Amino acid sequence: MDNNERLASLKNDKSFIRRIYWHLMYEIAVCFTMERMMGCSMTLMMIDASKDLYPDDPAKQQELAQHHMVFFNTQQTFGAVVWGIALGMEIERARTGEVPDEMIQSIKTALAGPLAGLGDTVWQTLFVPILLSISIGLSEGGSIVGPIFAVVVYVAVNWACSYYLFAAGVKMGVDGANALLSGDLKERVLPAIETMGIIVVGAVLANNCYLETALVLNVNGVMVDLQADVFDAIYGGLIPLIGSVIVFWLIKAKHLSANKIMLGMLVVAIIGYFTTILA
Amino acid sequence: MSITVLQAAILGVFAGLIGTELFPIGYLGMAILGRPLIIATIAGFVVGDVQTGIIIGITLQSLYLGAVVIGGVSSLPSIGLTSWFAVPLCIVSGLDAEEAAALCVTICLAGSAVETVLGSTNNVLKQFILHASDTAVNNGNLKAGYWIPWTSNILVFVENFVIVMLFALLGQDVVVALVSVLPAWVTGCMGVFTKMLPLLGFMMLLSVMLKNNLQWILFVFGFALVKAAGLDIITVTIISLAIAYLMYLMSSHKSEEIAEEEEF
Repeated sequence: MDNNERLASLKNDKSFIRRIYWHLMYEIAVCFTMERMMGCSMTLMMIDASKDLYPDDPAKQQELAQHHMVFFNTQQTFGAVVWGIALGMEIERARTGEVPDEMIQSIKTALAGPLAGLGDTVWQTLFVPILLSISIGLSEGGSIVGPIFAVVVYVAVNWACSYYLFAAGVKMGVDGANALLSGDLKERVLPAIETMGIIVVGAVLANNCYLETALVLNVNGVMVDLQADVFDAIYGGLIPLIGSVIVFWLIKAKHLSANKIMLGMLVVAIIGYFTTILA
Repeated sequence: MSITVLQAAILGVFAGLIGTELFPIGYLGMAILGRPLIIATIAGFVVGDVQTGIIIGITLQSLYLGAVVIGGVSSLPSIGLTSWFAVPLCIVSGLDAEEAAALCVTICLAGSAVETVLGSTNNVLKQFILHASDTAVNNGNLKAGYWIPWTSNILVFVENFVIVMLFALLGQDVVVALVSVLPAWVTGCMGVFTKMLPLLGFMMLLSVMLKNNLQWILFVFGFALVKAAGLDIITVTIISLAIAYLMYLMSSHKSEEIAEEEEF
C-alpha cells in the first residue's frame, strides 16, 4: 500500500485512535510541572504515534517528539479535541510534508485557551459540583448510592465526551472543535445547566446546614425559645439562608480568601458556642 | 476498632494510585475519584465502616464543593493526600459520626500545609525528570524519553504510599490520646465550626456560578423545595432538570428569529 494512502487511512483507523487515546487516558498529567504542564503528555503521545507516522525514519520520529516538547495546558475533557487535532495535523504533515510546524503549534495554542476557559466552567464549576451535590443528597445517612452514582455518571460522561472529541479532532481537524466553540453551547446549554445547578445547590444546602440558635430569651418573664418559636415560625432554616448571604458577600464583595473566612468562622463558632447563639 | 497494617497498606496503595491519576482508567476518573466524598467512601470501606466514612465525606465534600483548580492552583488547601489517613483515623477514634467529621476537617486542614510543601518539592523533582527526558529525546533515544517521565509516577506513588501508611498506623495512638483529653467545649466549638463549613463550600461554588443577583431566586427556590416542601434530592433534581430543559427550549428562538429575518 502506498505510504500516502496508508497515512490517510490512519485517521479512520479505530485501533490506532484507541491506542493513542490510551496515552491521553493515562499520561495527560504525567510529569506535570509549572514549566510545561501538560506538554509532556503531548510529547509522549507523539513518540508513540511517530512509530506509525514515520515507521522507518528515526530522525523524523525524533523531530516529531521535539516539536511538541513545549508548554501546553488546557482542560482535559474538552481539550481532548486539541490532542486529536494535533495528531491529525501531524498525520497530514507526514503524508504531504506541507504542513508547517508553526501552524500546528499556533493552532494548539489558539484552541487551548478558550477550551480551558469553557472546559473549566463546564466541568469544574458545573458538572462535577452539581453531580457531587446530588451525590451528597443521595448519601445522606451514609448510603453508598451517592458515591457510586457520582463515580458512574462522571466516568461515563467524561469518557464518552473526551473520546468522541479526540476522535473528532483527528478526523476533522479544527472543524472537530466547532461543536464546542459555536455559540450554541455557551448561549443555550450552559445557562440551562447553571439554572439547574443553582437550584440543586440551594436544595442540598438546606439538607446539610443545620445551624440553629440555642438562645432562649427571657421576654417579660416568658421563656422564648428563639429557634423554635421565632425563627422556625417565620421560615424554617432562616439562619443558613442568612448565613449564605453573608458568606457570599464576603467572598464576592470583600474578596476574602477561603482561609480567612475559615478563620473568621472559627472565631464566630467559638463565640457562638459559648453564648449559645449558635448550636 | 483499629487500623491493621494490611489496611494501612491498602490505603497507601489507593492513595498512590489515585494520586498518580492512574487508577483505574487514568485521568478519566481523576476529577471524581480524587474528591473528598469518594476518598472518604473508599477509606471507610477499607477500614470496615463505609457509613461513617460517607458521613465524614459529606462534611468534607460540602466544604470542598466550590474548590476549583485553575492552571494547577487550587482555591482551597489541598487535602487529597491527608484525607486518606485522616478519615480512617477519625473513624476508629471512637467518636460518633458528627464529631468524627469535625475532627477530620481539622486534621485535613492542618495536614494540607504539608501537602503544599510536598507539592512544591515534587514540582522541582519533576522538572529534573522532565529535563532528563528532554535530553534523552534530543540524543535520539526516544524509548528512554518516553519512559523517563513515568518515573515521576513511581515517585508520587511511593511518597503517597509511605505517608498514608505511616500516618494511618502511627496516628491512631495520637488521635485516641487527643480525643480523651479534649474538653467538651472544644468538641462543641468544633461541632459548630463544622456545621458552618458547608456554607463556605456552597457559597464558593455559588460565587462562580451566579452570573447576576436575580439568580438568587433559584437558590432560594431550591432551598424552599427541601425545607418547606420537604422534597427529597431526586425529586428536586428532576424538577430542576425539567426547568433547565424548558429554559433551553425557550432560548432556541434567538437563532430562528435571525434566520427568519434573513429570509426577507
